[in-house]
Amino acid sequence: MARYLATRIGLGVLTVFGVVLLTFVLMFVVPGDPARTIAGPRATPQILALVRANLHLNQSVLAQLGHYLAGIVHGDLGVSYVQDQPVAQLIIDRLPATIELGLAGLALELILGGAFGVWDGIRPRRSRILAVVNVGLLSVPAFSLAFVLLLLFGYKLSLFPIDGGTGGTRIVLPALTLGLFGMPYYANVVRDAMQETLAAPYTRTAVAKGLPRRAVLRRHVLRNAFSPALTMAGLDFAILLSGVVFVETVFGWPGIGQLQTQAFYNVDRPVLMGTVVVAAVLVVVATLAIDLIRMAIDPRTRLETQ
Amino acid sequence: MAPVFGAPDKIYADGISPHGLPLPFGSAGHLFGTDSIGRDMLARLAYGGRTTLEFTFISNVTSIGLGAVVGVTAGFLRGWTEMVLMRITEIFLSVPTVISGLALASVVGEGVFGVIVVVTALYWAWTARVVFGETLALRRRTFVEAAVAQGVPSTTIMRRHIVPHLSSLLLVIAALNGAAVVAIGAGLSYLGAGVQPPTPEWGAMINDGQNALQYAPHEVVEPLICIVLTVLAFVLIGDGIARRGSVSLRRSWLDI
Amino acid sequence: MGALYIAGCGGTSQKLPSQQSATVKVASGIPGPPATGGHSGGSITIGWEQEGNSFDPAIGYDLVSWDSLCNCTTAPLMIFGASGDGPYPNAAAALSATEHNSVYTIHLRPGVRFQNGRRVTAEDYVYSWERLLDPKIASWAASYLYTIDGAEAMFKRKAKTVSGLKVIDPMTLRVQLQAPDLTFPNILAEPYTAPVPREVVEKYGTDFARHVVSTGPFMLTSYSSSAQTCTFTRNPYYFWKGLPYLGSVVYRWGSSAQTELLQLEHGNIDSIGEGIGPSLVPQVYAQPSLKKYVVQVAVPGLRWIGLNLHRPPFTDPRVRQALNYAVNRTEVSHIGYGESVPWGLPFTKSLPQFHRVATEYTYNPEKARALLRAAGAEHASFTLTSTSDDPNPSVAQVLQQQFKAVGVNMSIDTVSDNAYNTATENKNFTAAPIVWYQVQPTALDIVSSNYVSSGSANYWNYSDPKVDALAQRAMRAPDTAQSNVYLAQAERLIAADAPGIFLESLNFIDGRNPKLQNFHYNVFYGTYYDRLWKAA
Repeated sequence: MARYLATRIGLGVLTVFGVVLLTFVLMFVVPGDPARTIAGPRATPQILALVRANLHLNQSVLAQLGHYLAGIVHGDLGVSYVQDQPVAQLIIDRLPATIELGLAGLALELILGGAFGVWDGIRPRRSRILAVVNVGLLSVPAFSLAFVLLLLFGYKLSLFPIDGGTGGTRIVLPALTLGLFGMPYYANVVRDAMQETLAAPYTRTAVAKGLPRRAVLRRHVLRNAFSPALTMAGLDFAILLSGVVFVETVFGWPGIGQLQTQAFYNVDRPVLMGTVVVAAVLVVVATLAIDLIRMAIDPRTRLETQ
Repeated sequence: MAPVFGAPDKIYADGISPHGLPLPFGSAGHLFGTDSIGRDMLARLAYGGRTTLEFTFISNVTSIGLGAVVGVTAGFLRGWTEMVLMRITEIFLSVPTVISGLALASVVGEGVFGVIVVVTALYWAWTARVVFGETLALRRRTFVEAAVAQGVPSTTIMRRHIVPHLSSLLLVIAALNGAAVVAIGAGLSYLGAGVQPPTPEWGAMINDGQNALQYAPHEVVEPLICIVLTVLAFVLIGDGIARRGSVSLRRSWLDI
Repeated sequence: MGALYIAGCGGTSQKLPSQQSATVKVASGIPGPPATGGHSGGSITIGWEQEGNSFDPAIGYDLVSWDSLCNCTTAPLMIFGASGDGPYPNAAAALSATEHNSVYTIHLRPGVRFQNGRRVTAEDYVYSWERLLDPKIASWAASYLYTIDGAEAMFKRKAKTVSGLKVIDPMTLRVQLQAPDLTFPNILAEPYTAPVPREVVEKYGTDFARHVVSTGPFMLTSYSSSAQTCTFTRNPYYFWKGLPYLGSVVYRWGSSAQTELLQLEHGNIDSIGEGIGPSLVPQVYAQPSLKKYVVQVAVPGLRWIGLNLHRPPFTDPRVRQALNYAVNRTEVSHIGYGESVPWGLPFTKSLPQFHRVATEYTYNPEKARALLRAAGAEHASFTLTSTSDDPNPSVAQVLQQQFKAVGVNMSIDTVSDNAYNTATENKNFTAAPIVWYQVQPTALDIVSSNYVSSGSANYWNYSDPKVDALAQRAMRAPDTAQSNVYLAQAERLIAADAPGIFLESLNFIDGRNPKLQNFHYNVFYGTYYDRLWKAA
């Protein structure tokens, strides 16, 4: 087990390094001049050149990458071009709200998707209504879905705050948006896995042994059916930590998505890189955690570690 | 079918009110209403279907194809192949789509081809990860182990025993991706890749209508319904295929 | 000859006998809209979509930062009136110009203090302006001070101080310019020339932006990037006694424009900082209950399609003129009704004391076709490099159809804002939409940036020695009236040459709580928070 963990952590570091490398290169492929966003539309070429020189942007990409990697090794994520604040601080400030929403969204995805998936999986034929709902939810842009929920439950019915607010109920609508958004994926995966496990020989054995229907479901079917859903949850966590900007802006949620997107539009490369590095580390950690959980509940996967 | 619905790019002078309000669903002369600059929604929906279906279908096939190949290879061969392929997959999964998407969009340029390239690049890794997990499970199944023990070549095992068992999973992924791909493609048209205005396209129509969600919901709802119905048709076709295919025919032991 | 100024708020213009040929601006009362009758206390919340780039007067330029500087934290020497008139003395007691507007003497208003309580002296201005010219700060506004003798030398590290700044006594500052410049008082009305206290700047270093101190009506008391909010509290030392009325102004950012509109109606915010965007304006007409929240203000802003004069088909002026006649501006202005009005000239629509001699372009498709035929460009085609910013996609598609009607084929290439900036800066485009907001009450603002050969925003390869000469004469003119005569001639030349397809003059559509009393909007600065109060 210790060897397995060591290997996984080593591979994780490799992944993060790859992500840094790829993102760094991509950042320079995307057109954009940080000096322009720092100094605005009225700055003269002379001032722009000075801004670039002050930020060492006139160095080669390779030199900048080397500088950045050296910083990372020392735990320094750099300073924001625009906000002039340490990137690590900007991210740490937003991490709690991001993780809070990520976990709540993930929980709702799993609960909604799991419930519908199990319900659909037990049925001999798949539900057409659920299929329509799923496809509908997948087709609605995240922004519209979030806005419709806000309009309905926040604005019309006044059940939840529409300005973010500070109360405990403020998380309900953004989390629900994420839950509905991810629900179809989980429902499908769970349904698929349900049908597979229901058809598996060990289910036949369990039924043949005369175990009651509920016990078969709980002890054999559900356990195995949720295994692929958990793998997906690990991946999903990454998306929730970096790609929920639409949900954040509709509900005024102070997450990393907004930080990252604004950094992208501002060509604020240190902030952008910082969010990517942090997200990549979290993905690696989450994937590992999910695999460990999966091993605990699904004995079949334990073989993988050998 | 095109000429029946009129010109999709024509701007009707009476298509929007002096206050900028489009005509609603059911208006005389414009049965499906008009969009925010006064074009006929019905004509745009009719023309938009082709473009939408074209890039959705192709990019779905390419992204899932690439993902499946990587996933199966890594999951079956294991070892160094797995190490390298899955690291690349993880890296692609970790780079935020806003960056990778935009970077690619600015390189590939506009047009349907651009959408296909970007969507493939963004989506293959997701398929690869799921397929990889499934392949690992299949590899331990008795029929695969028996084939390995008999010395059947790897490529043959993958083709004969692994891929057929993955078909229903791939169909599920394809159905799920179908709708999401439309949304991604629409997002790209704002970034210099993808289909450029005024070419009508369902996903772009939804995007264009988002600010009008309150005062002209038909601008979003109509293309949305078109997409839902189309994807649903594919889902049901996929279902039918899966039901017919002998490998995927599963019976629940609970219901005997 | 000295410059002719109008002093104070409806005040008097007087000549001091001691200073021959000097025209003086003397303060008389609080400039701008009425500032009486309010009751103290209360708080308002302004909603913004994004976080400001910097609250440091030397760095901040975006909408949020500009609002914080102009209406909360700073109070510059001069100030513009609500409709862009002036400038009038504000933190200055008087301003006099001698030597044909090449020497300005600034008399500071007694009793002006920084928000930390310290008195402001002439030395503080010298410090703040030299800070603006510090190459390490690399302020975007540095070039606006080049008019001062020795300023450019300091920015280029050729001098340690600015030779043209001379402290006469703690309350008097003399500024020697390189050449006569009638627009210098305008610079004094910009927030970047407001004073900042050396001791605070040095204490906080780069963090000064979040601890900014100046002399304005409200002082920054808290800033939280993670909670997406900051608070400005009433400055007890503000030099206009009795102001401001409000106890605090709160900024909150990070919500989408659509959400902001809902928040305004629910009373969560009192004003939408960016105003209501063009594609959301129809909502106001669809929902009559929203009407009382909306105020429309004509602003000195323009939208046009800039053309690259080095690229075909726009190397031929007849093609450029033809497209100006091909545009049906009324139809274009229907998109986002109220956000724009048709306007077919290169300078903003309402300029004070400006007598136009240029002829406005109007819709005339026959003339457009004739010009195209004469140029042999009946089937011309080109690409518009546009962004997805509201309302660019709609405007582009409407224009596309209008050009098609005269046989010209325009394709649209939508790119990201950054790609757009890169393309225009490198002049690597054929046509591109542009919006320009004037920040001074003179067309020189547009000419010297966009149409002078060396202009920093002259992406169009436009170069006309006559326009260059007229712009310089306008700057060195003895008074506004004479300056505007030159500018009017420049406008006629530019319009005839048509380096752009001139489209519309802009309005600002503000969404604000009707409970706000004495609400006034300044076309350069934004809402006057200092004289605002909130009804119970």
